[in-house]
Parts: sequence; structure tokens; C-alpha cells
Amino acid sequence: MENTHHKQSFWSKYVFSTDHKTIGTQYMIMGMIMAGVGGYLAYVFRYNLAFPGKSIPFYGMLGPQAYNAFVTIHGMIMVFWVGMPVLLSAFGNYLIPLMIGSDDMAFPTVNMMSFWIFAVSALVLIASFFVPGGAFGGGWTMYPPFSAGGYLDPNPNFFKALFSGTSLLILAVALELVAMLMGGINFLVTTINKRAKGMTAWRIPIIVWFLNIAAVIFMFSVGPLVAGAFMLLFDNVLGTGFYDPHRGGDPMLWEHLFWFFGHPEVYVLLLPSLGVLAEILPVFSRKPLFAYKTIIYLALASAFLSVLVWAHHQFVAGIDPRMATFFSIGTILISIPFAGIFLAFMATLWGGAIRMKVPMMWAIGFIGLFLVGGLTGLFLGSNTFDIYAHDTYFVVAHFHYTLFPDIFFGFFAAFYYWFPKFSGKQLNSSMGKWHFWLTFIFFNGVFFLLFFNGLAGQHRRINDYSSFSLISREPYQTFEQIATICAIGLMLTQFIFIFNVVKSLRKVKTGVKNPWEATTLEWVSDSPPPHGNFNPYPEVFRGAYDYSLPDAEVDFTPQNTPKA
Amino acid sequence: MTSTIVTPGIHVGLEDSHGPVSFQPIHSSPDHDNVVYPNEATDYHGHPHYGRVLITLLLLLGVSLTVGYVFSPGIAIALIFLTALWKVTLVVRNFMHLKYEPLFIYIAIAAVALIIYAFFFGVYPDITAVPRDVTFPH
Amino acid sequence: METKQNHLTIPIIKIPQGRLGTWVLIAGELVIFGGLICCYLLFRIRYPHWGAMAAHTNTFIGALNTVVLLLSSYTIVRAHGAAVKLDVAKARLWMTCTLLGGVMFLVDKSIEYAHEISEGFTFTSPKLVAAGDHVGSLFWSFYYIMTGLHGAHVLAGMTAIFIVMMQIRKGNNLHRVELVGMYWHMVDLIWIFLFPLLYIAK
Repeated sequence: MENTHHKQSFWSKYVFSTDHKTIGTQYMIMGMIMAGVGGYLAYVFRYNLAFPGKSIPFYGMLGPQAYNAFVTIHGMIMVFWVGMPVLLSAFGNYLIPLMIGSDDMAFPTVNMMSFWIFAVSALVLIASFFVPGGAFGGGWTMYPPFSAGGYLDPNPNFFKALFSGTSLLILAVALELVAMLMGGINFLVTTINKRAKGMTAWRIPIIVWFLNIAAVIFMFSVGPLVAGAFMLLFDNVLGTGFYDPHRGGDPMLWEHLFWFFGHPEVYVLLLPSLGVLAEILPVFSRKPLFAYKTIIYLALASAFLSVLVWAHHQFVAGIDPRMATFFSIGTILISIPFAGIFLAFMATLWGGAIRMKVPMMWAIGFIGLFLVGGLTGLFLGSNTFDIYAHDTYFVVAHFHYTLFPDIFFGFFAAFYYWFPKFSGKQLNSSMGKWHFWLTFIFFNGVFFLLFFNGLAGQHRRINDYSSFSLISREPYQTFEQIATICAIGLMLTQFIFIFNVVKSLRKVKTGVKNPWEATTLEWVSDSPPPHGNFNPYPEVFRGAYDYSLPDAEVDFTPQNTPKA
Repeated sequence: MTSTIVTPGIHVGLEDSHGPVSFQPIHSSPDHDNVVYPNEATDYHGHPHYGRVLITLLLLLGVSLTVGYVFSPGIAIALIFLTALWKVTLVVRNFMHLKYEPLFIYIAIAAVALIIYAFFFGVYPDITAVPRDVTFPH
Repeated sequence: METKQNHLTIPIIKIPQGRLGTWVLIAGELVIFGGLICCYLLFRIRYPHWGAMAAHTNTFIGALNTVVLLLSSYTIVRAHGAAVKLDVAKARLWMTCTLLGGVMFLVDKSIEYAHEISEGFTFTSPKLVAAGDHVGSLFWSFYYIMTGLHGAHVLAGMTAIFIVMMQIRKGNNLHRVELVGMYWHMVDLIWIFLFPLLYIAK
């Protein structure tokens, strides 16, 4: 039967659409807008750190309270409102049905609701800046008692507490988690039940595997946090004592609940990006992916380990020392599967006919930068070192070296790679290279020196070092200024990208179906894919990475090519 | 819309949002996906004797209510939670038809139990192994 | 009008999409309650004093509610049985019984809450706090958050059942009877855990 189109109104086509591609695009645009907000916050507080006491261009003076709120919301936005929607929801929604040869997600209505709940959560988050008292400023981890001000307030007031920045932040996060849960259910059911004929488990592209593993990790680790968020909200609004030691509760419980989710969350963000790499590297080195099955097993192992390591974030919080050893060992163990995955990626490059196109540059840049983040993570995973480095700029630099390549390099690699799919057009390559190199240099400029600041003892939650002569000595203040200048450069660089996208969207369609000569199913469909994706629906005969087969005419054999 | 064949029998759409679902003859396609209900291909599970399960559940409830009066507290609590586990197993296996589901679903449910256990294990010393009296004197 | 038949798409493990989705949803919900029950258990082990507080809960109403939920689980599973036989009227009748069970559960719960609140055991229990029994007030916080979250799920399940009752009126979407049924059983089995935790173990 053919896919016939019926006339859709603007609202049902672009706004309340149930088409997985529209929803994926909506998530991506929303994520990019939020990245702009998060970047602006970062600009403001970075400027304040480098030039304390000066008025900040495009903002004004930044007080300590607002500084804390900006840092907190910057972290929140970048993890929950940029990383999650862009990597997991945008690419998951767009790519999973295309790559498994399906017409749409399993539950399109749920998918649409998921996006709109997400949009509301973003609104609630932004609204928290404008309530009396401002946005929450106690760190993105929301540790009580900062986040449970209800029992600290001498004159508790229900409505004041309900419409405080804290409550709105908890509410926004809860809504965001609900949206992602709905998306996760969709991913799993779609992948399990809606694959094209012949798409057996071992023929599914790695990115679809990884998105699903990420969805599973997310679903199984978020539950306790949801329960904990209710408790935190009641502590804040109604004055219960779940996390109040004075009332028999325990603030440590929240730390456990938060990090039980918060650490697996890192892998939820990481796995989709690694999946992007697994798609891009074989295409641009014209070689099959090295150790396909091993990569999947390693990812499953890391998913299992990821829920057993959370308390390495709490080494200085006074957890039981015996457990600290356990969590230290678990943390160092979890580097083994990821090292294995990265080694498999490098083995994919080995001896390949490498095409240094823009997506490939982002992918290789990802590997290089993530190496720094991963190795410093090994230090921090050991509780003896962590006690020294905890809450310093060393930690800040470490997790930016993991999350920035993960979220942004992964996103840009995927975006440059799949943009021909989204739009049928090609991004300008030389602007893409400028974008890559400037981003790469400026990113290192921001965070590499901060490792030294951290080792020198600079604490991450201080807005003005000039009042601490011991740690504001040279060269560390200069390092802060270099970091800030590079951060501004990093943000300005992104305008090249925006300009490139806008310019490319105005070009005519290239009409090339498979510009990168890739094998996976999404390139079988038209670019951009029509409603219903495929006509006729493809049948799969081979694995996802059949490059340079000895007896093939061309060096790529799409998955729907029958075996000879 | 070209080939709409409406046949007697009751059909289940893929999803509401797809608009009116194209109807198919019940036995036309061997590999349809949730199109027909009840469906030999997908509605593969049988139906246990629900009444018997219900009576067992109620009896177990009676047991869990009475053991407290019969045994010492330690044994009673163990028995109470064992009966609770038994009840849950009965409900999940029979009412939710887990016993007819593929292994995948078992794994998902077992994963829930494992995750919860991991959480309990990791948090246990920090919450329980602290000085018992942590309330401050006024 | 559009058609969405993807003939080549087959369920690889033979489980219908709706049921698979419901299982995944249930797994997600169970983790939420699992986390909450874990927190409760940890504090229960920490504070033996909570046994005295648990003695104030009304075991009779708790047991009655267990019976109500078990019976309503039974009726929804009979509704599924009728739906398989395409007997819409009977399926809707059984679902109405389940809804009545849900209403009765909530009524019992309200009576119980009213009784406990009149004794001064509220969400924050200011009476206990004033008497210096902070730990006891924490028990009631846990009691209300656990039963309250469960009650919210009862309401959600009832809403879902009601919506499905409306949807199957004309005899389509009958497979959804089983799906809401599964959700309702999950509500039931969470209660099976909450009942001994809050009412029996003293």
C-alpha cells in the first residue's frame, strides 16, 4: 500500500506533529535554543571570574547570589535541556525509525506529548529566573539544605515556597524526566517491534543499540530520583523532614538518590555520542566497524557497571569508607569497557582510506578530547585523590573535557553528517572546517589551564577570587582571564555554524541521496525523507558496516543489497 | 485512500494518530503488526484460572494477617514478606500474564529488582550505620 | 486520509507493541516505588521506634483495601477475558466493577486519612514535633508520601480505565482493556508491598 499524503494544517504539520522527524527537529531546535541560553549564562559568570567587580557587557553587575544561580542553571541546562534532548531525543527520534527501516515511532502521540512536556519544562526553568528570590543557586546537584529551604525559613509560607526558584527547578526537572521517560519507552518499543524485515539484532547499527542502552539506563536509574524529588519538593514547600537531620531525616539520602541517577546520566549522554562516532568512523575510513559485537557487549557491561559507581561523587560527603573503596574500584573498572570501545574505534581507523570530511574531523576531535577527560576521570575516581581535588576547577575541567566533546562535538559530528539527510542540502565544508578548528582551539583554551587552577586549590563556587589572596595569585588569575577570553571566542565561533546552516538551507537541494556513500538504511530513503519514510519498505540482508567488500563493485554495500 | 477493505470482525489500529487505520481482512497478512484483535499471532497467551488465583491471594492475605499472633516477631515478619512476595508473583505471573511473555520481559522485571537492590546496598551503611540518636536536644 | 501499513515490519519477539510498551512503563514505575520503598526501609531499620508509629495505622482498613484491590484486579482480568471474546458489554461491565473498586479504595483511604489526621498524624505532624518526637513525624511523612503516591496511581489507573471504557464503546481498540488491566495490576502489587510495610510489620 502506498503512503498517500493528506492535507495537514500548519499546526498539525509543524507544531503538534506526530511525525518522528518533525519531533526530532523540534527537539533539536529547542536544544539549540537552550544551548544559547546556557552559553549566555556561562559567558556572564566566566566574565565575572576573569574581571571581578567589573560591569559585564550585555548583563551588568553580577552579585554573588546571581552568580551561584547562573552557575547552577548553566549546569542544569547543559545536561538536561541540551545534552538529553539533542543527543537522545533529537537523534533518537529522527534516526531510530529511519535506521531500522520503519515508518514512525511505535507511539507517535506519546512522542508528541513527550516533546511538549519537555517544552513546558524548559519554560518553567526559564520562569524560575523571574520569581522573587531568583533562580535556585545551590548547585545543579540540588543538595539539601540549600534546596529544602522550607525548614530553614523562619516564617514558612506555602505559596512563597511553591513559587520559589527551588521548587520551580525541581518541577522543571521532574517534567523533563517525564518527557524523557516517554521518549525512552518509545525508543525501546520501536527498536524491538518495528524493525524492517531482516533487521536482526546483530544487523542494527550501533547508534540504535546505544540509544536504546542509554534509554534503558535512564529509565532504570531515574526512578529513585523521581521519588526523591517528591520528597525534596515536600521538604521545601510543606516543611517535612526527609532530608533534615534535625527531624530524623538524612541529607545523605538525597545525595545518594541524586547520584544514583546523576552518574548513569553521564553514560546516557555519552552512549548516543559514541553511537554517532560508530556511524561516522566506518563511513569516512571506508572500513567495516572493528569488533561490532564486542562494542555492543562492552556497552552493555558499562551500562551494568554504571549503576554501581554513583557514590564516587560523594567521597567527601562522609560516606562509609568501606563503600568508598567499593565505589572507587567500580569507577576505575568502568573505564575498561569505554577504553575498549575507543580502542575499537581507533582500530576502525587503522589502515582505512580516510576521508577527512567535516563530520570525520569532529569525530576524531571527540576522541582526542575525550581522552583527556577520561584520563583525568581516572584520577578523580580514586577516592584518595578526589578528597584533594573535590569541588575545585580540576573537577570542572575534567567534566567539561568529557561533556563538551560528548554533547557538542558529538552533536556537530552528527549534525554535519546527517544534515544532508535532514534537508537534502550540504553544509559548506570550508566554513565547517573553520568552525571545527576554532571550536577545538578555543575549547582547549578555556579548560586546559583550569586543570592547573584546580590543582592550585581554586574552589569552583567562589565568584570573586580577589578576596582570597592565597588562591588568586598569579598566574592563576591570568589563567582565568585566558579561559574567559577563549570562552567568548568559543561562543562567537558558533555563529559561523549558525551562518553556515542558514546559508545552506537557502541553497537548492543537491538531489544526492547518499552523499557520504554510507551503508545504513536511512540513506536508502529520500533526503529529506517523506512522511512514512520509505517507499517501498526496505528489506535488510546484511550488517550495517559492509564497506570495501572484496567482491563488490563500489566500496560500500547498503544494508538492503541482497547477498549474492 | 485507495484500498480500504472493511471486513467484519474487530480491528485494532496501530495508533490513533495515524488517522483512520486501513482495515485488512483478518487472515490476509501473516506478518501484520497488531492489526487484528484477538489475534492468533500475538494474543498467544492462555488464560489461567483467575478465580483460583484470587482465592489463593485472599488466603495468603489471611495468612499474613494472622502470623503476627502465632509466631515470634522475627519469624512473623519474614513470613509476612514471604507471603507478600508470593502474592506479587501470583499477580504478575497470572493476572499480568508474565508467564506467557518472552524472556525479554522477565529480564526487564528482574533488572528492576537488581537495580533496587543495588541502590539499597549502596545506601544501606550511610543511612543505617550512623549513631541512632541524631535528633538534637532543644 | 493516509495509510500506515508497513508490511515488512514484524514484531521480532512476538509481543504486541502495546503490551511491550506497557511492560516498559510498568518497569519504570516500579523503579520509582522501589526507590521510595528502599528509602522507607532504610529509615525503618535505622529507627526501631517507627514500630510504635506503625501501630497507629489502621490494619483493618489496610486489609480491607487489599481485598478491594485484589477483587478489582480480578474484575479487570475478567474484563480482558470478555474483551478477547469480543463481548464489549461484558467487558465494560467488569471494568465498571473495577472502577467501583477503585472508588471504594479511595473512600477507605480518605476515612483512614481523616482518622489519622484527627489524631494529629499529618504530613508534618506538628503535634509530634512539638512533643520532641521528630523521628515519629518522619514516619508519617513517609506514610503519607508512599500512600499518597500510590493513591495518585490508583486515580491515574481509574482515569485510564475510564478512558478505555469510552474508547471501546464501539468495539474497537479492545486490546487496550488488557493494557489498562496490566497497569491496574501494577497498582495492586505495589499495594501488596506497601500493606505489610506500613500496616502489619510493627
